[in-house]
Amino acid sequence: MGNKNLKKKRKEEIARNELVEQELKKSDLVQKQQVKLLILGAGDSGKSTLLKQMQILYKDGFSKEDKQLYRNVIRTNIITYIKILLKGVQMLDLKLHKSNEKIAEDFLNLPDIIDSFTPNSILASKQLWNDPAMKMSFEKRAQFQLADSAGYFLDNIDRIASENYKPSDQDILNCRISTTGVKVVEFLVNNQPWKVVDVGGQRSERKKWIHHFDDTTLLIYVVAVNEYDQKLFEDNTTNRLHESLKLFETTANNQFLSNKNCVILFNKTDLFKDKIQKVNFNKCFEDFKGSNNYEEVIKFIKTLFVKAGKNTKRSIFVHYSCATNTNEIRFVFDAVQSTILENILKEQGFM
Amino acid sequence: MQTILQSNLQSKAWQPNPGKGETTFNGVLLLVVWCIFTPYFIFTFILFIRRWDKQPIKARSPLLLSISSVAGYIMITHYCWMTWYSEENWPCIVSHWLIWAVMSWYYVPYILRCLRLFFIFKINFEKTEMHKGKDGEKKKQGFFVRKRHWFTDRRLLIWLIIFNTLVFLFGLFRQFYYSDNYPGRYGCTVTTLYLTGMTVIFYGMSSTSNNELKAVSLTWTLLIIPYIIIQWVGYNEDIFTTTYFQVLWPLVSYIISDVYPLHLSYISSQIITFSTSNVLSSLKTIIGNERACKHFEEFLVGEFSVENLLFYQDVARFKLLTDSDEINSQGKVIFDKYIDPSSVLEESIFMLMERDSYPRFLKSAICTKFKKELQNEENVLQILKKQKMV
Repeated sequence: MGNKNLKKKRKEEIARNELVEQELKKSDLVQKQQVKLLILGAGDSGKSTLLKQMQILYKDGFSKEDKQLYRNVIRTNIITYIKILLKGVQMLDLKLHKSNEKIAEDFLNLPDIIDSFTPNSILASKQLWNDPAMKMSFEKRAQFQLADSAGYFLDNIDRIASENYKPSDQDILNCRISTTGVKVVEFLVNNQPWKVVDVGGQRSERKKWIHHFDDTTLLIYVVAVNEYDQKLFEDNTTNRLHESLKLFETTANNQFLSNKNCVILFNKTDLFKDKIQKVNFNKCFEDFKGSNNYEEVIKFIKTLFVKAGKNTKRSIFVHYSCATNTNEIRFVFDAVQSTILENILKEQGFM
Repeated sequence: MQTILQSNLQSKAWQPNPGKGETTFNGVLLLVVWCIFTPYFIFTFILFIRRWDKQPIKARSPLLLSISSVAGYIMITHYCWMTWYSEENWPCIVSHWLIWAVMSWYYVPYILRCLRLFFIFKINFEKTEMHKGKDGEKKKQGFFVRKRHWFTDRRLLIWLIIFNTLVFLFGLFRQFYYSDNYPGRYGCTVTTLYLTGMTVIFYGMSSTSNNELKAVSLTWTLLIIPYIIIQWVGYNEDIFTTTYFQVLWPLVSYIISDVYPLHLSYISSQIITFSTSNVLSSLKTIIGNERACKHFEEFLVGEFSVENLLFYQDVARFKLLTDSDEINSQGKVIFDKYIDPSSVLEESIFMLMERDSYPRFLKSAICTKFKKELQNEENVLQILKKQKMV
């Protein structure tokens, strides 16, 4: 009797041991396996913003030097934005207030460097930004090239001009610096090493992407959905959303990437929500027959992209976000991580 | 070592110019060499004095350098004139004392400089090891600081005087109390001394990356070997020995030991080496500094964005062109090389690099390594300053 009991106990023990070992092996695998995330997308879609979010979420934010750099960039950008808007005013044949005409003339002669950010030019920027013609020009910014965050910074000009201004995380997330080349940053996300590859999105940069296509774990493709009425920075004629779709079709079906899981991140949804009320979507996409509201349009865009990248070897996940919102992005990355875990376990035959 | 050679003038063992008061082809040739060399010497010497404080640290010991260059000039002058005049016309005793007094002043500073370079390299090396070994702690008190306290410019000068006085006394002794018919012996003794020192230094240097040091020791060792052989085999009226060793040797070593540091003082990368913060403070200074720019380029290659830098540099060079033909051809080259549907301005390329690549470069491994290198050199400089060697 006693013997039998003992045997039973031992069996149980062995079974439990196996289970524990398997669990250990699992977590070991997860921790050891380096994950490589490839962030792709057209220019100005928000790829680097994702990376900045990771810096906030998984590292200790921005250093003093970083902030100093961003401060200068933001201040220089204000000069640039006002100049672009002034040129927009000229292009659209709008009339500035009489008192502002002389100021505008002087302003256009300022070079785009940090030294131009003087008390005089700050005053001029504020005055010009409050001019109705400038506001009109800003409304019609889709007709020329103006960064999406221009409005955000111009509204905060007083804070930015103050002497001991330190850019907040929100400022840094909004600040645009176009990426050149390929940057690789490593993060430790819940004990798992992630290698995140961020690339420049403009046309001339895309030929460099191929260097990082192999051994990718997951492809994150970022689409700025609010761009449906804007033209490409590179040639000023191609619609940005068309370009992004075409780009996704070619990269996602590239021989190295066609069997990789893919996350499509529809970005800048906040700006999209604003825009959809003002600009009709089927002006830019004639195929679209639905009514012009957020849900229907985004569903349409989603089907377009999923159709473009669909094949039997991969699954496509779709997320909607506003990349400058840290909470939303945290949610996205949590989802991405669970996808990756599943992926690894599946590959090793645990699931 | 030359004393013995000169003393042999009396015993007719050495007769460069047969015949009384006649000039030979060899003599004329050397005179021409001297005529070319003199303005060259004056020119480089003036330049050297003007750039006294611009000397890059590794080559720098202006005091020793100027002593040896003046002495070298006197020596070369002497040999040239001596060969041009015949033996009877050239007062032999002048020759004796001149060579006796000058020769060591030419060669010994040279050796001391090599030694000094060697120890500078040595601290460099030890610092690097220290950085690796201890957990990030910088120790400024290395072995050099404690043990090589005598290694300052002033002390080197004292050593020089002591050494040369000894050589001089030995020569005097030999002159008056000792004469045999083996003219090479004395020369060989001194030369062997030089050779031994040089060889030791040369071997010590074989692992260094300091090109100047390599060049100096190599030339020295290579030139001195045939000399010593000929000294032993026998020294006679062979024209080859006179021309080659009396003039060519000092000439070559003059150029390497004195002109090379001068040349270095004009290379910007060698001068601003010692301020980490200055070089890396902005993208403009990085691009302006040859050495820093190399590292930056290496980093950009790794990030696949080196074309920006190349384009910027090409355009910057293009801007300096004045010849219209060249402008046309270069313009075409640049257009073909960087042809792009979206025309990017040079300014925006610079901005792109400044905002995106440059901050990342500062954090990259390549830059950290480069910074360490600079820091290392800065430490060396501080030690040298403390020791009043600079």
